[in-house]
Amino acid sequence: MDEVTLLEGLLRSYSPTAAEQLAVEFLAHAMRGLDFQVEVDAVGNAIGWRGEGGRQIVLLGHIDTVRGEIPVRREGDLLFGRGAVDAKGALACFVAAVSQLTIPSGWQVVVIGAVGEEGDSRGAKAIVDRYWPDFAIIGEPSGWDRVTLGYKGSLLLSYRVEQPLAHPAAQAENAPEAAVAFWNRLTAAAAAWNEPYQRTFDQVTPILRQMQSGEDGFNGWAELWINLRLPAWFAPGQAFIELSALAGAGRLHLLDAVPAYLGEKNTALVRAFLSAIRAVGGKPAFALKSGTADLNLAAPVWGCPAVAYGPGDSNLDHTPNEHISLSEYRRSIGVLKEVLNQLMQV
Amino acid sequence: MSLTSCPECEAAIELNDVLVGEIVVCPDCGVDLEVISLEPLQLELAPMEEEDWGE
Repeated sequence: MDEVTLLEGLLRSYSPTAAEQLAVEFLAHAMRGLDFQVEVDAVGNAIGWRGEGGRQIVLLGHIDTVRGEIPVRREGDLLFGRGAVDAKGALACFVAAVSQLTIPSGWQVVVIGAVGEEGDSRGAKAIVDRYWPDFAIIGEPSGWDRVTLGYKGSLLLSYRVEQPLAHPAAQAENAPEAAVAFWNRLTAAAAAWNEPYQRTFDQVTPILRQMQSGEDGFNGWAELWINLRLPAWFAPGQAFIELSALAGAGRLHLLDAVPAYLGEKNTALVRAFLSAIRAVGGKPAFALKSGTADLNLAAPVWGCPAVAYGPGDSNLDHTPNEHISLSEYRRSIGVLKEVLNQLMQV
Repeated sequence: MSLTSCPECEAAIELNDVLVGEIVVCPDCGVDLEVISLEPLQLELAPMEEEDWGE
């Protein structure tokens, strides 16, 4: 199976989060045909590996996509389909590159198509304790000539405030007004925290996701769902404490917390990417992402050099126009092969 | 020990035991530099850090 057939087959196996089975079966079958040993684990991750030995490289991609099937089609060099960029392009790049390598004695290379990354990352959570890699590469679109060093963290919480009802003319603050006042205190605090920082990656970004309010004749209530995108200097626990101090009469409830991750530049892994990109005529760059990814989850556990890499323009993530350039996809396979070869000479 | 100059400020830079792809800092102007070859020792401005959306 060639690299384009592999990617096209993955795209045709529509696999929104929690319904990945079709794509997992396709990938497992494809990897067996490309000389991988393969298993599908208990949570449904497709895992393939080549080589046996004490040193290990894990390439962790994700096989689920956001909802919204896009008919798979080619227009010249472009291949359209849900997941072309986020992140079946990167996952297919991993499989194709590893299949074309001779794995030296003492090394094992593992490719994981994890389920659930667009949801609760249940696939990555199920495998982080199974592997202790020397190097890790997470499959997300960076562009063929860029290496992603970091993703911001995320704090998801709800805020609920209740107030006894008063006559509207009494000019007492009601629950919706109290919730709005909390939101205003939060955004003012974020502006103050962000004052020393120029980059979005270093700033706290508050996002109001939902708001509801109601009353039962005696009491009124208001609820906000808030997402804070967090920089590396602001741990989710500290952010929760700071917000609690702003909560007034309301109560905060923690829904999810993911710390930011920022990897080192001076590692054998980053050096291999820089020289591999330059070797094929590229001018390498580093990317810092304002979202979160399985890199946030896996890299701190593994404690090894870790970056994210994959072909594609992340501005097309989650859009109805998602597509990838096949020539870029092929270049990324060439870069990754060179990176893996260099790492396994260490 | 190898000698070269900073491509940004032209200050002389001495480096020992560096690797291709390593990021070093110019002691004069503070800019990040990437070692792109060892023989001869050559430095270029290190890759830019670009921000974008994505998760």
